[in-house]
Amino acid sequence: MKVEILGSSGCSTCESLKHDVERIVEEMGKEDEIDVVKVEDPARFASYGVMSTPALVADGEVEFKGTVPSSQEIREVLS
Amino acid sequence: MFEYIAVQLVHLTGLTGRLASSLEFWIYDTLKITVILLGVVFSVSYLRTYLPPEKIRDFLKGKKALVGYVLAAGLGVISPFCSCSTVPLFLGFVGAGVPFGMTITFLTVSPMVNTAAVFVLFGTFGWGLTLAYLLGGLTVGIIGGSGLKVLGFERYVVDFDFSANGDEPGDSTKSARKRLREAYVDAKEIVGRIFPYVVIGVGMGAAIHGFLPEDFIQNTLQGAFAVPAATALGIPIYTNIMGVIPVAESLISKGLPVGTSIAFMMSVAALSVPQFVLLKQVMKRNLLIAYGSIIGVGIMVLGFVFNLVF
Repeated sequence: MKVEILGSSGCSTCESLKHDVERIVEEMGKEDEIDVVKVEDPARFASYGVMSTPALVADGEVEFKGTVPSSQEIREVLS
Repeated sequence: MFEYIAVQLVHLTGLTGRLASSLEFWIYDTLKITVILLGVVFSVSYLRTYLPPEKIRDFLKGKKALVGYVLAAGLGVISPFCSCSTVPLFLGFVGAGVPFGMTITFLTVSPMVNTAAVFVLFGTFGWGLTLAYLLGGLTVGIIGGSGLKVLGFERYVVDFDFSANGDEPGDSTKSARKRLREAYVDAKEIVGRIFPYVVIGVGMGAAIHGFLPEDFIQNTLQGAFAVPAATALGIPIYTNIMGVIPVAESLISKGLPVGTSIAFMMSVAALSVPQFVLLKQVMKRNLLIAYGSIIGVGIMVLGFVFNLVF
């Protein structure tokens, strides 16, 4: 699975979402299956139809936008 | 109440004179601004869970000119978006068919007029100046947006594709608990980001309050060039408007004209180098220059008018 975290470089909630996701991937022991990348190019946000960051895209599907989801919600998306 | 706490704390230190008066100002203003900030940011963050950008966009799509511009400016006041959201919002609005001028109006008013600042200004200066700030910011945004539209600057938007899958406004049936949690996360982030600016800003305000000689401003910061100078000075300064209010408060009490102070506050908030670096990703140079100039000129006009009125 490919997980993209959308967020501009100056956005602190976007950074914290990335850390949350990485931590949860590690806890689930899925480092080999799930690839987490940060996307900072606003044209890519637009191509996903995302206007508010942070957003989480899993395999091209927008799962969350404009909010930091709880650990529980992140787990559900990753499993 | 804050004044009582500040006076008592200063009394405990045994300080007197200028230092005491600076310290009192610092404690009082930090307390006042922090409490207002916490209250307003949390409330607005909560309300904002009912008003995602997708909804704002749908409100603005297909609105008649005048109504649309007023609405765009009004929505700019109540939407405290982080400057890092400006670019995705711009792309999302323009890409989904919100008229270009209204998008510019929204993006101008959003950083310039801020809900928490309205409350702090009211608590510090009363109604007159607060209304002037609010109406002035709305006016600059509306004139800026419609002006750029009329002048045909729409063609200088960088080309991009906007996906239609942003059309659904997200989850509109959130539970109250989920909204509260989102508001809490949001408010924590915003207050954490702004707080250092408040402490520094109040510190500078306190230093001016205690130590700047009374006649300094009369001798230096008056005359026709004061307003343009204040506007220009605001460009390299990148801080939050909440950090500027205490500085302005001190300067006004030392005799700086109100219009000059407002021009400075607005310039700090709306004309900043990092903001323009971000916007450069989506606006070609001509549009960027025109956008900056129209806001700059608008702020200066407001400064001159308020200096005449107040």
